[in-house]
Amino acid sequence: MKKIVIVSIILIISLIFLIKGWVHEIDEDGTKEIDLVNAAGKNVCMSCIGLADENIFEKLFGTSEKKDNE
Amino acid sequence: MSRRIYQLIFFIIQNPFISNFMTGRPYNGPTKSFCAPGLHCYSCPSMAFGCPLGTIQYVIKYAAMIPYYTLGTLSAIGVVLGSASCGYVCPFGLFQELLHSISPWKSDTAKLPHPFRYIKWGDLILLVIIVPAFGLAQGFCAWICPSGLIMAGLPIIAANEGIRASVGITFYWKLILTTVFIIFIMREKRFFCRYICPLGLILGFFN
Repeated sequence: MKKIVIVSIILIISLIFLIKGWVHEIDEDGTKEIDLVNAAGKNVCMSCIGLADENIFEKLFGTSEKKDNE
Repeated sequence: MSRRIYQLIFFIIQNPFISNFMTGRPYNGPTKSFCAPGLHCYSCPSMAFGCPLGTIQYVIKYAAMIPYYTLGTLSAIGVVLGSASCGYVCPFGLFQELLHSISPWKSDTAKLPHPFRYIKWGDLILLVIIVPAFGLAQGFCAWICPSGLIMAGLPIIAANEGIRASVGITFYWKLILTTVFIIFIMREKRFFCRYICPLGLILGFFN
């Protein structure tokens, strides 16, 4: 009985999350989470295929060039 | 029906667009709005659905929000199927089992020490949540995921000359890491699921 109640609660919460993803607008342009999911899936993901050479240190600490210019 | 038959059926359901391998472009129809319950890159040309891990990282990185939709999908799948989706639906699980079955140096008793199982916690917390939350990268997809490299990276790079020209250090890093994973997978059954995969961990929460 306890197990059924817990499973039911999780399923209800899952349903609420799914509906929120389809309905709730996340910005003023009316973008919904499902639009992001769609956008992610429809393009070639450079990260996934190993072509995102993102410079993490530059993102975290800024460029050394900028400091030189200053 | 044996489990292998189910795995093959689910593999075909998830990959109906085989001809896309010729062009190196992923399918971009309406079914991409739904996440498949396995580790299968959404950039794979034949893939009809979205990757739940990739989607979580994308939403956290680009919208800086909790990915309610994907969490809702995974919790529903997890509570109904639990880790059975890893055994029956996940294409990368099938890949690992086939690789292990043909391996000349496979061992049914080989296991890494228990603390190695906590690597997947690090993957989940650091690479799937924290790194994208700081807007740095889709950490797990970018630096670890062998499914992305095997099912999407290699076919797309082989088919698309423009993309091939932009291969850089991350690609070579993933290539080396994937080779290491393959060596371990050939030795130990479902090595990646046991020690690395954060998706199995998420589904296991609700099991």
